[in-house]
Amino acid sequence: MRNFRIFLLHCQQILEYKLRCFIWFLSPIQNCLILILFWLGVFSGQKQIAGWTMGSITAYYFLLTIASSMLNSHIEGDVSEFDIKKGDLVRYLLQPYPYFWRKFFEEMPWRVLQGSYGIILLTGSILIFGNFLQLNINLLNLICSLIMIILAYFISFTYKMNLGFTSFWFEDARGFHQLLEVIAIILCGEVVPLTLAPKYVQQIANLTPFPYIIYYPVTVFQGKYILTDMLKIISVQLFWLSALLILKEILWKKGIKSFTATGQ
Amino acid sequence: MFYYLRVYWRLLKINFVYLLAYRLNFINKVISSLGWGFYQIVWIELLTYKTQSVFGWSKNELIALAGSFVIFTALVHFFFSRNFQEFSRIINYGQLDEYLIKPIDSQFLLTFKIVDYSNVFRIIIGFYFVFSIMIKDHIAISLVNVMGYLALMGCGLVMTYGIWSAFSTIIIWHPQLSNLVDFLFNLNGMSRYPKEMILNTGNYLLFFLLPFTLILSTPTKILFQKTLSGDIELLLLFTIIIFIFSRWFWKFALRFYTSAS
Amino acid sequence: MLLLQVEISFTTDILWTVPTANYWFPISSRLAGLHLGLTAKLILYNQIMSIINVENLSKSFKIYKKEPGIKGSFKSLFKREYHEKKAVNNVSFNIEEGELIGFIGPNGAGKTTTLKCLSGLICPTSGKISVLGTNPFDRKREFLKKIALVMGQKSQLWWDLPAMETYLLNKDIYEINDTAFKKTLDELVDLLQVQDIINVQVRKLSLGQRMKCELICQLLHSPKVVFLDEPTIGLDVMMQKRLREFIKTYNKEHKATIILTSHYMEDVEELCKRVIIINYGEKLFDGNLADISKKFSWQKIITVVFDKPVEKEQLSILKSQIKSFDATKLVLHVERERSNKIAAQLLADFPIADLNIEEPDIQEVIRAVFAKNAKK
Repeated sequence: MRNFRIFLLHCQQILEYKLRCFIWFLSPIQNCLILILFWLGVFSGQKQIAGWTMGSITAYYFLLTIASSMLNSHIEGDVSEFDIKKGDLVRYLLQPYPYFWRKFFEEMPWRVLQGSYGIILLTGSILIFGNFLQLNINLLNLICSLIMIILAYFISFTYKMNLGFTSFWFEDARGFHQLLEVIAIILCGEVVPLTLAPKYVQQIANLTPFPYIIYYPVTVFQGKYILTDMLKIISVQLFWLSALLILKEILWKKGIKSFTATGQ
Repeated sequence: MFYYLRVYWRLLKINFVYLLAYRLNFINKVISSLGWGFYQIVWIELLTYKTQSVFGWSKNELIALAGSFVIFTALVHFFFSRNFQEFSRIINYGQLDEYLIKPIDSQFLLTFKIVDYSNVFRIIIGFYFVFSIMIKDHIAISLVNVMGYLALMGCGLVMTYGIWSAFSTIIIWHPQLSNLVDFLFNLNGMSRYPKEMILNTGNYLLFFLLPFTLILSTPTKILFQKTLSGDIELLLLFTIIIFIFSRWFWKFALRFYTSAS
Repeated sequence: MLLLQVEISFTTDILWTVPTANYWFPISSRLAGLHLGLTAKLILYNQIMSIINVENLSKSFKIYKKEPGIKGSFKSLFKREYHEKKAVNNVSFNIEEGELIGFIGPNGAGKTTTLKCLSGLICPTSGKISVLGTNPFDRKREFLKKIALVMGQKSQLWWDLPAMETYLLNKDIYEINDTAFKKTLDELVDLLQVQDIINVQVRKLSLGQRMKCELICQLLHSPKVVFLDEPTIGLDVMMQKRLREFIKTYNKEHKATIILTSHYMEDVEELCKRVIIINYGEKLFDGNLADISKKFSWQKIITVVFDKPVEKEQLSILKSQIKSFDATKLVLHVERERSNKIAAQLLADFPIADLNIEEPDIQEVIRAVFAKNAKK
């Protein structure tokens, strides 16, 4: 009940900023549409590239837009700038409620709102561009991708929390964070689907949690995998989630000790 | 004219003093800008990995276009992007007063106050890729072409300034739109694509994106001696219209500024 | 001294005459089929006009209303309720060169809004303003070079750099030459005693030090009109006193016209001979500080110290006017007209060591005025 009330309060805050949220969503939509235009040019010469057609790549970018606005957490800025550096963390420490979950419910409304914009967009596009999109949806894909989406969000959130926690020790690591952001965008498949990238890029990507946040949930939803592959992906997601949660515990315990000791 | 040059020279000096005082911040920004600079090249490499030519542009020419984008973005950051990011905060907290009370054009002071030196290194990356592609493709590097390239890029810079200015003026009515600048960066991203991409669609609705695609396609075409079909004239026309409109719009909007107490 | 103003405007007639001084000559021009021409008007008027002239100034703002709670947020998505707030309502006054005027009023009275209209920051809804002979909202360069606006809560100094850097920038913006800059800077730094801090980062300075550096920044170009908006807010008592002394000295030495808004009465009492009282956007009083009591208060205060203890019963006639009484000291609030008579009577009837007739405390008077106005 308490969580729901916190959630509602943040929803209220968001409605005050509806125009702001709309603008936030304009960027990914614009990127998506322009990339599709680009691929139109590429596919004018050939009908298929590495198993992708114009229809499937259009669907990929649409789903990518929704997935990245819904599943990419941005909590690290809040954690490092306001909570740790400014000291607002003290406020949370005084509450009998785990910091991790508090931040989780703070961010949820934003992701839900961005996701809603995305779903409206998808429904609209299917109605308008229905013939251009190629989706292979069946019940199995749907269930598996739903599980993956939930796991993906948790992976993204935990990863970003860990990134935020580095501010306990590093005063200013923005350059490093930006580098990671660049790498993440490439390895998440946000530029091109990984199967259209060089082989070594795919191999490096599979060694990181990034494709498991965006790329695999999207391609599973598109129906590109059989059951065994999907189960493999889910198990890797569980592995990454556990690893990140363990890391989070270590960073949090050590970080809090240094935070309260220096009275930052 | 000299007055504004003198004031700008002072601003350059003050921002340099700031850089020296906050070295860690500067280093972080340099790393960040280099990262994004390389990203632009990786981005186009990935998109063209499985194809050799799109819209009449070869893969190499598209990489050079991306290199031009790296240079262009660095210049946008150097001259004015930080200032537009501050717009929302300045107007929301009524700090625009201190700009309006001075005997200098408020738009000038507001948009050129902060100079971001950290992007200078990104320019080097851009030029490296552009010229190495030219050498690879055996394109003659002539002074006229390079001057034309730089001049038209300057033109594109003026047009971008006008567009950003016009959009940011809306913040006077809606001070909470601090993320408008992120959207503007995205619009800038349009200039990575060749103009032919928009024309090919034949969709008139998309033609409002045409000015953006002219910003970098045109100078790159000059450098690579590709055929121009009225590109330069269109670019100049759009630049003049957009810039004049943005100046008028700013002066018009100031009448509605209510100044927070 | 007479002031000439030449106004040029375009009209679409063919032939006009242009008067200059004492003779007139015709000019006409045709331009490619368009009948354009120039008319130059010569306006002569007397320069003996006030440095600041405000006529029927009004300024209103639109405020949105929203119901609380999530229902209210949804409602405001579809329909927004506005109501108009009149920040300044039909205010008129004139200020001469060299005056040091105080604007008094509670929070939200309209003082800052008036100041912002006078400095050209916001456009009045109606009314006419003239400062230094021009409309401030035109924001002419020559006008802006001669005014300064110091706001207590805001600072124009670059936060992360020493104040000196901002001074150098202002030197270029206001086109101050090197000698004048050095002279003014040295004078101001000396007056405010800030030699050690102008080269320290502003973020490391205390509020008082920042305020001093801010004042210097705004006065480097030797403005003729200075608007001070709550300059002593948040400062400690010693710093307030120092700032007041500085403002007084500056006004005397440079003959600059200074308009000060404050809700600290001490600022106004110490600095201003003339005050303008504003409340709810309306001008309640414009005149000498000393006259406020006479206008708004029907009372005077008589303080009596007796030679030897007096019984309260002996003062029964004055019972209704007694404010406080102990055996040897009596404080009375009496009507203005009767004060002399009552004082004379007291001197005659009682053994008095000391007797004082005073005006009531100005702060009390003004507080009462605001309270009365609020009820209305």
